[in-house]
Amino acid sequence: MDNELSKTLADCLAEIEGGASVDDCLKRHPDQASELRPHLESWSVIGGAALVQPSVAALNRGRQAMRSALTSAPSGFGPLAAARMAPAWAAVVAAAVIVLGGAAGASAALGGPNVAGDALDAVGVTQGDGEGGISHSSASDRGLECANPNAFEGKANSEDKAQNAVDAQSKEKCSPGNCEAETDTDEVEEAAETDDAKGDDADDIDEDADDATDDADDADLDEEDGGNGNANGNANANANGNGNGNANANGQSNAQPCAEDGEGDGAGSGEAGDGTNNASDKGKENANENASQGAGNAEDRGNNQNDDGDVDGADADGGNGPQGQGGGQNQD
Amino acid sequence: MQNEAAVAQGLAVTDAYEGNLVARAKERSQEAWDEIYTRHYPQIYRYIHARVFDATIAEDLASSVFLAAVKGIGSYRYQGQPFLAWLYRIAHNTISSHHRTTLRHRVVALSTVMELPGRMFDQIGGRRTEGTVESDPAAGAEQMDLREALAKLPRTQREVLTLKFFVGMDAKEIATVVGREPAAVYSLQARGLQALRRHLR
Repeated sequence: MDNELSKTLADCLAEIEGGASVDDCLKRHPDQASELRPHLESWSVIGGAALVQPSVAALNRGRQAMRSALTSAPSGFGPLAAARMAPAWAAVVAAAVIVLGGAAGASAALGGPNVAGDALDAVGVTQGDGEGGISHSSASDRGLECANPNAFEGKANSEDKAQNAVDAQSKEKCSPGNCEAETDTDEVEEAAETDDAKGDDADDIDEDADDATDDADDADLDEEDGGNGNANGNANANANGNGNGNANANGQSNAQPCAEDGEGDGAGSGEAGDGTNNASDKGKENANENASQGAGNAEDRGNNQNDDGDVDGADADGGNGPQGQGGGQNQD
Repeated sequence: MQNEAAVAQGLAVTDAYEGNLVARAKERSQEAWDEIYTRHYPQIYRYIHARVFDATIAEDLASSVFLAAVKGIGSYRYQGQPFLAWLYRIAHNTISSHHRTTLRHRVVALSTVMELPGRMFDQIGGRRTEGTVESDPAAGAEQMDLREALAKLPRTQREVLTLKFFVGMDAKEIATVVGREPAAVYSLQARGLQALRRHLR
């Protein structure tokens, strides 16, 4: 890719967003005008398309549903409520999740009923048909899902290098077959995630390289944070090269989005028992905080939904969710 | 300098307001949630629509995002990041779950892939056809081309282009959602646009 053209194009995009015209930009860069023009014209055309608007009826339906949820959902389960939970209770619930997770994983892996899904559904962890929404997420998916948003947060990576190295070693222990993730490869989003799990896809390496380059660009573009930016870029490149993009992504901020999602971490224990992929290992090996979250949530599910996922509080139970997964995988 | 100070002050006010809004939302204030919903539903809807290409599904999923937010607000901690960023993460997860559950029997009608004028695709791919998506059968294939081309982009590039073109955000807003500097967003958009054109050729 022509970096010079990319930088000029980025400048032009900024100028256009600031009110300049395509011609203004082309005049400013006459030597690259012929290359820039088609890009900028495409940009203008796409940007000029009307945005899709939600229907008023749908808007109102959604609002009504939200209000109903507000009035029906329990409200007394904040962090304080979680703190009131005796550790003994937490241990009991976590143990139950492990047992259910492993057993259900085995069951699911063997084509039987998803016991964990049903059980967790009964305690309100899952929603609807037990497949939709967050409830369907396997622990492996949790790792991936948690990774995604954090992938944006490159700043955590540099601090995570040590863990990345550990993760990288762990991932190398995965054989390609063993690391095969769920085959949602049709969906590119899923494919990208799956490839991350496999760590052996050339396209993914390209993508990671792009991201690393982007991070490097961040550094270039943000002089004040130049040092951080470079560190981030390097961290990404190294880790991704080892197929551990998710390890980076799981750096620091997973606790929040995972806890935010609320549901499914406990269910993940069972679903991972499907043994469908070793991406669950991503959740396990890479997402230390996720593991804590998983336990935290599992713990929550029996008693409340709003534990803030305090990692400290959940550490003791941190590995429980993933251990549940492991049991399931063994059945596979 | 004065400008920067004014912007910083404005952001601080915004942060304080949003922090207060989140605090009220945690207390399950219906007014707070109504405000959040009114503010963000259209953006979340568009974002989802750009990923699922179906208005009805997008409506359902957008609604479920807010239900999940209501459920999970207790675990959300406001740390200065826009609340919208959290909603996007939920939306992202919701879309992923949806795709997993529908993948095996998903049938996408080409004619409903995107509600965009056909000429857009001509521009992007350097093609020359006339008419709109609705009137030109060939446009359906072009739509699919664009969708596929978008899908081939690295995730961050795809995200910033989706947020730009289908949600209607400017670079500053996108930057807050994806956690990058606006300049980095422009860079990603530029790379994404170049890649998009490459894939469409």
